[in-house]
Amino acid sequence: MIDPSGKPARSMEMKDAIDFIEGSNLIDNFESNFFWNLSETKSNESGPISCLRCFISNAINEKINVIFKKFSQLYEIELQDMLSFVLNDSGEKYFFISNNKEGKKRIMFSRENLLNLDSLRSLPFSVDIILGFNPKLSNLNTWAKNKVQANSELKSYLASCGCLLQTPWSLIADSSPTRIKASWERCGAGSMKLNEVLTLHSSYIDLYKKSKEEYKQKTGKISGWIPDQDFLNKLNPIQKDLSNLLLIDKAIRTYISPNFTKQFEEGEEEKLVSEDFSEDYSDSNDNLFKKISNSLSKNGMIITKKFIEADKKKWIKDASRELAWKLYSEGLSQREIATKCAHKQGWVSKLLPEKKIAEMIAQEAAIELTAYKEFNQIKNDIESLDRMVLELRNHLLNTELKDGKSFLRSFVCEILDK
Amino acid sequence: MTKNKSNDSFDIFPLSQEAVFVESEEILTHKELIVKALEKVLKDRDLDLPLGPQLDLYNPDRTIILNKFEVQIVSSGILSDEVKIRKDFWKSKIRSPQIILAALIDDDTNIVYFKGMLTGSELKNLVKNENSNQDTFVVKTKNFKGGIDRLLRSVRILNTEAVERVEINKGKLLDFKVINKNFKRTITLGAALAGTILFGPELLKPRLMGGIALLETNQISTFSNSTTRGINKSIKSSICLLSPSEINKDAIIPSAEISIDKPLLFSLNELKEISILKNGQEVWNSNLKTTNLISKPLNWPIAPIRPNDNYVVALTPGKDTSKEPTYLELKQKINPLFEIDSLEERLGKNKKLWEKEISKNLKDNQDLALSLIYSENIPDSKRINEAREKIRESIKCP
Repeated sequence: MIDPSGKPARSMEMKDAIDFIEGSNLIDNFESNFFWNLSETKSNESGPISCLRCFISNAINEKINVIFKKFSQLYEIELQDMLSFVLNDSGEKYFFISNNKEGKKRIMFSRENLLNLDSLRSLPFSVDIILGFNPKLSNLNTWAKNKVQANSELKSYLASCGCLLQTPWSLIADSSPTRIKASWERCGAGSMKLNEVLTLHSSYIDLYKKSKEEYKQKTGKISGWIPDQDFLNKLNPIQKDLSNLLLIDKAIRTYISPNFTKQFEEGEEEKLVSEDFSEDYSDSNDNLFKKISNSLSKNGMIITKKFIEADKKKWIKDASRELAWKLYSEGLSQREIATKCAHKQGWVSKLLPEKKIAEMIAQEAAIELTAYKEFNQIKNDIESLDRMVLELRNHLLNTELKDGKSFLRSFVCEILDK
Repeated sequence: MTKNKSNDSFDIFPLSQEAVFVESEEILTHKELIVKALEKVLKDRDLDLPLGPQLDLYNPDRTIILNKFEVQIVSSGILSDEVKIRKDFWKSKIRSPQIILAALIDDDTNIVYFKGMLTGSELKNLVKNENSNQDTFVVKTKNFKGGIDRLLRSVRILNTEAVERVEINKGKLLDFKVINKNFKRTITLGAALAGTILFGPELLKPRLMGGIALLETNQISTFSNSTTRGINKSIKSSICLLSPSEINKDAIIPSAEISIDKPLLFSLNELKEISILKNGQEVWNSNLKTTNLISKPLNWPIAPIRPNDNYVVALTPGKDTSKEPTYLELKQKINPLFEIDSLEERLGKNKKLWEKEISKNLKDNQDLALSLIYSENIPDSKRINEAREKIRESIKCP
């Protein structure tokens, strides 16, 4: 099995599993379903469960490594951190539970004992995987990987790093028939016809919400739901296992991922590009320029300072944060800052939320400006207000001053220099 | 079917930096989760905006009130491409919300991402062609723009009445009159100029173009008796008019209420002939100028209309073999009529003033706006040319 305490995780021998295999003369038959069946027939023994735990730890390690290799270039994710949430089975033959009457009690990892427990809270994640496994729905490897995908702690960790781990089941439920159709037509694989896929999806949507609600009532948890046999039997057409749903999931992922990535790389909101700026207007409006400029400068300094002051508390522990602000004030791009601070670009954009800062400054400036009669009517028109704030924001982020810096960068520079 | 041969699967997706994490030991309902996320955003930005109704904030059947704006919260999964909006909120203009806020949520991890908002009018425009009998409108999540920023800036800066409440009736096409009212809030010339100093001519451009989308057409028709081989027949001729626009179609001869002294005659159908009758006598006929089909709007070709003069316009459809004209009586809505020549003189050669005047009147006085757009005196303007092009392309007969 995979030793979770190793850095990096490494294989280790699980004595109980080896003893069981040797004692049962099982030299060649290493199929996971075989062990699962044995765990039922020999439900008071730990050996079959130990063998399954070995299979599962490998599947978990494989899944986490795939995610890490694919996404560690983009996000500040750590392999060990990810493994810690799901690879927490150290291969012991016994576990301990605390009981008010009997105190701490040692129990063997057998199916019988595990099924008699009220809660799996203190047990390794692999036990949760084993007890929920149904060999009719998928093989153990796929099941274990899907359970990793649904692990709420891992999901929370990844979300804190700026990425979203989504289960196939919620992704299918989040997709409209339009998306399903486009996904299947462009990226679908398998023998299902489009009509079958759409019918299946429609019945899935009808059942999903109800089934999840029942799961929530039963377990007190929201995460971790996976379609069971009963659910699959109610689908149209009835599904004998999870394979068709997983094919739909894969088609959706392949179809939407490039768009999502592109959308987030480019920024979610369009930048306004002012055309023929100087076309018609004369110097007589200097006074207005002054009002705008003063308002932006005043609010810009106050708000930017708040962001820097809030982050300053972390500079002692992590000097690269201070360096990032400094490099930003010098005009470096996020990519350049990331390289110089030895971090990912996502770290920089989280540390320096320039769009958010600019929006907050622009809103404060807009409140002041709309108090003037020249801009007062903007308070009556949402379209004009949107344009005004977006233009102010672009002005802060994109207008270059004499030294080539934007207004926002110059605010940062001035605050750091004080 | 085009197959994607790549073996790449995408286990994780990017999560917007604007996503909000709500910490809670308990399982929250969607409404609770969203409201708590909103409260967190307000706190994070040091915004002390009143949020209510205080005693019923988490009721999924109620709207919320944020700084005096009534907001309907709608939600969907975090990767959803569509969101459903309950129609029952939109049945009455008095009780409908002003804003719809879309929240995409992941309840496994208590993450809320505020995708953006729509005003009632924007929603109405989006669902105008939806004829479904479902009790929800279905709107693409990508239509909700601006994240939480747009909501905050709207409720902080706009006057409460600037975001109108609208009624959306199931299956009914866009009610131009309601939409028109939304655009009646005009920016004064001074403010518009001040705005364009900083924000450039873009501020004007969408208003002009947006106004064009509001133009209304009228289908008018008249019956006339015709004799074919000794048999009397009633023949119906139909014309689709963009100007004049205020048409009373109930009378035997339709009439148009006009407020300008030189109305533009703008039919979307090609015409064979236009004839103008003053006090029962023909005073102008297009055939005197050309016998070709008329496909362009016609500037009033004769002297301005004076009080108490009675004018009837006869419009003969180009494809109508009967050659029977449709008659339209011009009735004076105000006395005296607005003198368009004086206005054009005042606007002179300043194209910005022309554009502004047109933008303003697209909402309030369609006939005047169109007369200006097609005036022979208008200075050459790229934007006006674009506007004409948009009218040609987008305004169609129903």
